[in-house]
Amino acid sequence: MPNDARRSGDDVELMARLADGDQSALAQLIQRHQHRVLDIAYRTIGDRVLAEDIAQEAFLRVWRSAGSYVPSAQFTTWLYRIVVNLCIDASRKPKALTIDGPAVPHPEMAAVSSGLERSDRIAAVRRAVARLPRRQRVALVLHRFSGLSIRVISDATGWSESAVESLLVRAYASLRQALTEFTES
Amino acid sequence: MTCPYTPNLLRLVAGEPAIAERRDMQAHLATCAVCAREHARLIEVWQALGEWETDVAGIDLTARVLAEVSRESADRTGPARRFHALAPMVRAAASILIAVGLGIGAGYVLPLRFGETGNRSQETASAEAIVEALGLSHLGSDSATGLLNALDADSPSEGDESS
Ligand SMILES: [Zn+2]
Repeated sequence: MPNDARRSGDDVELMARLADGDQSALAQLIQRHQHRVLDIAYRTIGDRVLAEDIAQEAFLRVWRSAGSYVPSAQFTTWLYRIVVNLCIDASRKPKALTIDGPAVPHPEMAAVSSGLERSDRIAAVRRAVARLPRRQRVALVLHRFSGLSIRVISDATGWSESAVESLLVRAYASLRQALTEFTES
Repeated sequence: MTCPYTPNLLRLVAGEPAIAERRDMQAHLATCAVCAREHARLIEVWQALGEWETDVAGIDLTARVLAEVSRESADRTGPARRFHALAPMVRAAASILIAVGLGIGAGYVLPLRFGETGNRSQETASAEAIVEALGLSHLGSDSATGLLNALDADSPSEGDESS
């Protein structure tokens, strides 16, 4: 898509400027990508403070690696790989997956009626995602919430496409089971 | 009952396929009860997950990342120039290695030449004396190996995005 191509080209140009020591280029990269990075980290780790730390470290690694960055893949795929690795490392630590903070309901779904309270349903979703095994959770977050294709998830994680597909099939099956209470109401 | 087509449903639900492939998939769903049921279940889970929104839009990390960059830049000269900053230290370490090696060699050779037996205390005294003579004792190491270790410990560690 032309927009994606232009955006990706801009990212590569910003990386080149960053390698030359232009820190305003880093500021622009952060502005462009921080919310997707934060979203991935928060949904995977479940802790907002930790998610912010992960996002900060991801952009610091972008800065530290700017001199050796080779634009062989899309910048975002490379960035997500950094984020995924940081999330996997962090999720090995006990503090992760507390699923803190208030649930934020999707405005369009607010009118949907159900036997369960809306906040209960969202809490159930968050708990169900948090209980997924680490790799399933990463694949699911990238697929369902970041809108990445199976192929891009494979590039970003280093797992084969068939492995990603298998992780996703198992993740969605577990979630369906965990969420039966309100998907069938 | 299973259908080999079922794994493709993930792509369909995520909206990945182009229009032509999507039409083929819809045609398959119309004829396969297994896939039709699995597709309906996937849609339910997909929509349920969609209720979970995060509130990260209000966060701006720019200032804190740039502050950290400034702090790290002040600690060291910067990633690209770090090797050059370290070069004089490496040259000093190499000089010491050679000098200590020569000193130790001399410690062995000279006593033998004069019919004496070399021992550890003489070696240690030679190395320390040379480090002292080179004015490098402030680096806090009493041997060339220890000095290299000290230099290594001082080197900033590189972030690794491929862990
Ligand atoms: Zn089928």
